[in-house]
Amino acid sequence: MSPLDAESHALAGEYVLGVLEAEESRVIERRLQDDVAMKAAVAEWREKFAELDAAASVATVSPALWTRIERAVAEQASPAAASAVDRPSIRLWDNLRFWRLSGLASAAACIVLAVGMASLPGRPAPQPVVIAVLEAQDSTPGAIVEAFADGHIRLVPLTDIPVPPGRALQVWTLWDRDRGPVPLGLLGSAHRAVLNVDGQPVPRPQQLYEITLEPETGSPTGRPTGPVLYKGFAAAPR
Amino acid sequence: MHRQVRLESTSPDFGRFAVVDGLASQDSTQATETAAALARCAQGDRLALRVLFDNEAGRMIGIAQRILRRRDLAEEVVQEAFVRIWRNASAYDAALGSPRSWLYAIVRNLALNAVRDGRREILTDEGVAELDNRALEATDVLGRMAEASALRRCLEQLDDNRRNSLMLAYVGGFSQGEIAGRLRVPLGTVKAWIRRGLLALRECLA
Repeated sequence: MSPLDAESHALAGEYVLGVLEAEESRVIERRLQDDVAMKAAVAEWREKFAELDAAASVATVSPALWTRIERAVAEQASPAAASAVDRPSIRLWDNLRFWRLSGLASAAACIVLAVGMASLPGRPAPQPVVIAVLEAQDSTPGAIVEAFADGHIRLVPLTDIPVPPGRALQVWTLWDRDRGPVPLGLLGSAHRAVLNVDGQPVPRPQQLYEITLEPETGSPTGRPTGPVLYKGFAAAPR
Repeated sequence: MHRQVRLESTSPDFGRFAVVDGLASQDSTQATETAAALARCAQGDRLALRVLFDNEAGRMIGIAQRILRRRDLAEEVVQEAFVRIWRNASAYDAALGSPRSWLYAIVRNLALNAVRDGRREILTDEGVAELDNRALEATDVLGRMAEASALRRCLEQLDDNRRNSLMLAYVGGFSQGEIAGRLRVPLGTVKAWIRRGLLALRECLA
């Protein structure tokens, strides 16, 4: 193995520091697949800087944290069973594996939509209370969210959103900062979808909606953990 | 600026566990235990995950809290880190560092993602005073390190700007742009401080 030049070695250090831009980090990660010298440089910096980690205070750990981890790990093994216990109102949408196994992923949206419409015979289609255009960080619009008074939400993607294997898109809203972001639904790919959300207050203008990239079974913490792909604030249609 | 730091790699190589741990020696027994537990996690042993948790969770919360400030957010990140450790244990690659540095890299990267990817406005509402505390604590860490530490000695030998930039980035999780803003210098200047700081550090530690 030929050793890295000093600048490449420092680049490995910047990767470990976490100061590289996403694209630069990806370049390093590609090199780490087979570049033994780059691996050695990353290992060297990790070992060195781990001393700074070791100087962090050791917090007292609450037993509740372990309980949550145990549950999250168990959910991975059996996502269907676990989500039914905790979050009944959204279990259908959280239970992505079910939809995949059934081969119904795309049909699902239609069924839910059809059921929703059937319950309103002879009445005009309901109008959304608020609409949000979710944008990427560079302001490219990615999806529209229409939120209705009865709590259901219609999601319309405006662009193809790539979802890596083992990941899914999760939709969130924030209507109360004290409570934090609330998950609205999980999608394996970007498609039109109706999400039924119980127990939420009527959507308001300025309410934040966002889509993050999460593990296939949804955020293990119940809060957004992956990158925010699109977000936007709601406004009432005129 | 989405920073997806992927830690998984190929070729598990558990044979090298005990050799590569470069962390402080006073708790080398715990480090060895951590290494063995990670290998057992890779085989699906749930009890081994508990061993990792007992050995490392407290420190991992501390690492995340230096970046995120709030205890509840730090715990969320540590929870996610353990799920990831469990899922990726079999992909741990000893060529990329000791088991312990791998665990710390996972929690640190998750904390960095949380603080940088736009969730800060939702999750932290970080005020100016909190930012100052985060910066102060980052640069104070040297004083908590063993006097005999070579890393400490070499960091102390760096000029203040280079040292502070490295500490703000690694310990406090500040981006180069944020560091430039705090120190009121152009971004290019901070990039140069960090690059030269790393070059000097490596030379000093060689």
